[in-house]
Amino acid sequence: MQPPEAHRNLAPEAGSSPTADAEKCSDGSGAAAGPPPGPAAEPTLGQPAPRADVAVLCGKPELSWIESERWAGLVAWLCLASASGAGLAYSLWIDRQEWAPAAAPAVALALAALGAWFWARPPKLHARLSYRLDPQGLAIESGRLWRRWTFVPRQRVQFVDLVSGPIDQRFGLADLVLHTAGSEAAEIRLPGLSLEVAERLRAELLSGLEREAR
Amino acid sequence: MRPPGARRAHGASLALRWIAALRPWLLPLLALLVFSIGDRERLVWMWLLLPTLLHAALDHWSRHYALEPGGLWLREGLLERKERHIQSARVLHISREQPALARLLGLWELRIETDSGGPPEAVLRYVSSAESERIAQHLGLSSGGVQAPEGLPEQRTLSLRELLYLGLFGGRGWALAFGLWAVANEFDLLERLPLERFEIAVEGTHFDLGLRHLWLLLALLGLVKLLALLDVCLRHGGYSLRPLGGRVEFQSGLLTRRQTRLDPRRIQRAAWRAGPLDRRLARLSLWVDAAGGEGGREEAEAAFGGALVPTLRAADRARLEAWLGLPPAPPESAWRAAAPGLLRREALESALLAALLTALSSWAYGPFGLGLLLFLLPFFGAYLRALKRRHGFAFGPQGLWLRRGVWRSETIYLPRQRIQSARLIEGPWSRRFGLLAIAFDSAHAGGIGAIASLPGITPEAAREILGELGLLGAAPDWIRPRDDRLGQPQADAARA
Repeated sequence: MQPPEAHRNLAPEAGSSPTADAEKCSDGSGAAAGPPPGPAAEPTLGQPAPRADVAVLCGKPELSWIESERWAGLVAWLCLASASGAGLAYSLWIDRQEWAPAAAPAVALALAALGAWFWARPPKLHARLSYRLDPQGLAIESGRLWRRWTFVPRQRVQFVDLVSGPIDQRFGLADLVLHTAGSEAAEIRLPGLSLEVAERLRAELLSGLEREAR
Repeated sequence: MRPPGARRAHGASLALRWIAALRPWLLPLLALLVFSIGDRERLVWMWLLLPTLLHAALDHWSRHYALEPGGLWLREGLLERKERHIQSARVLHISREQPALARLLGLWELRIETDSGGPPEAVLRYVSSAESERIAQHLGLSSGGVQAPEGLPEQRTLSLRELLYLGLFGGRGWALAFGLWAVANEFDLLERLPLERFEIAVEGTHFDLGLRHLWLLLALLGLVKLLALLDVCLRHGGYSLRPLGGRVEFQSGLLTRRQTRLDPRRIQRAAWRAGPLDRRLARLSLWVDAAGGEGGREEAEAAFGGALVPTLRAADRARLEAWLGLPPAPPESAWRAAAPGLLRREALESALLAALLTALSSWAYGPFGLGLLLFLLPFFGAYLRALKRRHGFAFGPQGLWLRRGVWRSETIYLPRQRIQSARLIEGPWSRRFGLLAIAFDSAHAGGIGAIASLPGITPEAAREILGELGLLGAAPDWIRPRDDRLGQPQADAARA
């Protein structure tokens, strides 16, 4: 696992950072000048038609999010491994349970499998997670086996949070959390964005709200 | 700054709040009293309850409210003081609850909710009946009028016959009775039934055994239904639904009385539900979601005790819809039927289940076990026929209609303006049959279940629904026709 600083610069090189994609969507393709064709001109969910002068941003989480997720997985794995190791050691040498010698390889195998899963899962999550913010709203797509697509119209966003845990902070990442008035899906989370992109997305969403308020 | 006319809750409410605060400690308190017999020194532990009582008293003392022009002012907190202004125009509904003890004192707990979601924005424990009426009137001035149409009584109540129907035929009493019977069977309780006393048992015969089973089942069912009837009487006793100014006033509850004033124009979602017996007897129930509350079933039950209309003749449905301002359901021809892929998937799953059950039965009873197929096949056939009829969606002028459920069928109406977000979910098993699920979240997803969702629709149907809602432009690549499938950046470039 490389130090976080090395990965902070990885995303632009790989060309898949949200900023790069956003530029491709909004500046590169020229889509920023207006909404997507067809239905975008129609009213969405009974609300007035979205304004044309809103940028289209799309992209994926930062590549460093993979490392961040692996670090988070490592922390969880270490907690689990130390707890199960301590329990096993107690059973083996202090309590001297008969089943303990047989359980040790099984526990080791399970921990190894869990570690492999924690290592292999983040790139897959990253590969399938993408977002697109257009004049209508924010769409988030994720999952490989279970494909999910969530769409939040701009008019329905009540407020926007940026959330960054200790590991995310180390990698300069933040999660964008949208709140709608709903209860089940009231919180819609877009993880692994660089602070810059997250703030840009937030500003875009909030500017839309301010325009509507005016 | 405290506005003129600011006041605290009713003085007697302190006693009620103390009782409410002590309720969680009831069992430890009883245990302490029992163990203190003969040793009064142990009662010194009752001082531990003092902080709870003190907290309730301080909370009561620090809460103030005042009626302002155009809204309500509230202040709470001793160390961290919080002031809140609620505008009348933003009040979605006002509900009030009266526990049995509060009823003796003529006091109500008043809950005021806006459409921001979360818990009620204001809870006043407890105010007098006249004061709660004054607050409700002050906050309800901005509403328009709801008039009962011709032919529908101004006030809808539940007759004794309807209460009996809900108690005896509603719910899942049969399933519970069968479950208890299985447990009793497991613990050999059947052997202990004193049938000989009634001279109807013939010792040691299959007839005797069957009779014991039947008796136990009937006794359990009777017990379960008696409890259900009691529950229905407690929950729906004193039920009434009547127009009141711009709102509809709902009232229910025998011991704890709930009263909710709901603005019908702010209904987030409405669902008509009917079980198998309801369908046979042409009856149904109406469940509505209004924004506010914490989104759980308990919150919805706190507001309406479950359904807004627990049972109703199907013939009265159209009149009630007109009264509540709900649009009528689209005609049968407007409904899109269940997708063939869904029927194929359900048929395959049913066949697998039938094969598994028959194999288990054959393993236990030999060739006789194969007879189970004779029962299962018609059952699954009927299930597939019902699924074809009772699954689908339709578009209305103001919103989306979803229909689902085979055993307990449900017709959900989602006003277009109230949909907060849309989701598509496609699992690996459904993908094999070309199916996916669509789900919508409204401003308050409590009461009816989780989100309004329709599983087992085709990508074409999903496109149609998203197009109708004006969301097709943002639709994901995997529901587009194969020719139209481009990566998102390429799609953007193509659009540009």
